[in-house]
Amino acid sequence: MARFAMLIDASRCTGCNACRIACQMQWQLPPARYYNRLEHNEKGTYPNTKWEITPIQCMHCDNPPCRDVCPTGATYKRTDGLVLIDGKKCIGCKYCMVACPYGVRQINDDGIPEKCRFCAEYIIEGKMPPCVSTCMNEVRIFGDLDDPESKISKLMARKAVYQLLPEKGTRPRIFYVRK
Amino acid sequence: MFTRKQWLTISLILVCIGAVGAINILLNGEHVMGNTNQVPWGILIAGYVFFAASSTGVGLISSLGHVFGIKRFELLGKRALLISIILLLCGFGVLALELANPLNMIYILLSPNIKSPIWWMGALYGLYLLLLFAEFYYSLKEDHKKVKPIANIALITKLAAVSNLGVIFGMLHSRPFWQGPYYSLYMILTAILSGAAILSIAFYFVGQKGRQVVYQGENILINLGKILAGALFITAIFTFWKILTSLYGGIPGKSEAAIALLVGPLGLKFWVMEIILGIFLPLFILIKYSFQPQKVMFASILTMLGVLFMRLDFVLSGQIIPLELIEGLQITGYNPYVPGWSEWALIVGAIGATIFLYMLGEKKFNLDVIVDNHEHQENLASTKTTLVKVEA
Ligand code: SF4
Repeated sequence: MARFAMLIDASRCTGCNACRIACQMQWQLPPARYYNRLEHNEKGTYPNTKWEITPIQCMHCDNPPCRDVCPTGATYKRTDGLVLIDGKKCIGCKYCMVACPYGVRQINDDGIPEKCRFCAEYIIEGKMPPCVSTCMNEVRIFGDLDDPESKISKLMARKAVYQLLPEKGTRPRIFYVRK
Repeated sequence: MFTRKQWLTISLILVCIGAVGAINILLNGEHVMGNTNQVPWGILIAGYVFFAASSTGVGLISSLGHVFGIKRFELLGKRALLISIILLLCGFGVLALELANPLNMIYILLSPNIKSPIWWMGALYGLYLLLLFAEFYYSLKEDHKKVKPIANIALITKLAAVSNLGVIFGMLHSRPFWQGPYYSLYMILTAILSGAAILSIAFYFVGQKGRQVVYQGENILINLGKILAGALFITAIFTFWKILTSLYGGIPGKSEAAIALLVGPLGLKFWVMEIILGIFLPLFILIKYSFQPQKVMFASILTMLGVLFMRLDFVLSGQIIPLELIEGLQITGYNPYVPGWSEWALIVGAIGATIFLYMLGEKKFNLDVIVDNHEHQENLASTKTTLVKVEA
């Protein structure tokens, strides 16, 4: 069984937002709706300052609070690790939105809080999610952690990585390369 | 005060305002609501909490009579049950419009997730509503043998339901201001607060119809006023410590939310509506006028106004601070939230519906209570008309 994950090397990000736009194109989202975003953070003290950029999207947590709070099981976790939503079971209570510590859910026109789906339909065909394939700097690496030959497995073995908000106990499937 | 006809007209106007809001929400969904992706829960969730907790509070106070056997509270009997049913139905109505896909509720039964506090909310409040109907039905038939066990189960159910209402928020580790058991206890307390206030308003108007609601010569509003004063006082203490513990140590997400309440965008609502109008002024009126029935009613109206804003402050304070997901991320500003007019209209409509349905109930059912009391016949005999019929 595959164990999909993503490794993000934020230090390579130029802030061009191509990942966000590629995702919006892929899923035909209106301009104000997006499943990935860039957080900008000012670091240092003048004059030694810099913008630090962190790409954020659904973390496909191994212990997802959005799944735990969902009253109908509309939000579920697949055995390959993807956290997905079954729209026909969703009552639109938005509990998952409030429960997500990463603030990644976006309400769609049907009142369903959607989010990054790791492009579930594409990756099973062996394709890459557009946010990965479109990036000129290879900021995102997507793959199967159970395959030792995958690029992500090899990089993860070499690099020091961290996850966002480990204290929340969510155990995200998105890892960041330590700067 | 207004005549019955005028009250009916006013409540129907409010219901119509609510209906316009409801239709607008049904047609346009999220677009006409103030909710955003950063503040997913808005005034309708606050409205639901307002109605559901009030319904439970009314039930909890009436339990003093039919569960704990305190005779004077048995006077509340059927009226309290009816009010509780109406408030809960109005709460469900408000919630149904907040949910984007209420028809999918069937999956609460088909694929239940018992880890979800919202699932428990549906189960417990659903059960509570059924028990209320049963208790009301047998109370109307004066079948006290059946009422008693139902009332006992209902007491446990309502305590579980209202504390679970707090758990819905308390379980959220993503929202430090809400997280923890505090809001479970707070919900029980403030349910009693709004229950006492609503019963005071209702029984004041019952008394207005020339019938005194008295027990041993003492107007029931005096007892309700005392419960209200106690609940107001404890709520003030709860609120004080909640704010202080949240501020202490400057914990991210917690202290900023407390600051938002004290001096931030929620400040006006918090100080003017929740604290001054909703807690201190009613407490002052109650104590200054020694629980005079009319003053208890005024204090109760102020309290309910305060409770409405208290619920809104509570729902917003957990979401107003942007999530801090990257260490050292500078949080600039607050998550904005402005309720849509349709949402306000819906809340107003639900209040109108509560008044309207209650008046219908008063007309349709015999809500007077027979209390078995031998000792104080003389006292009661001296009252012009009384709701308490004494069984020899
Ligand atoms: S909004 Fe839908 S997916 Fe989210 S918790 Fe509610 S039912 Fe589940």
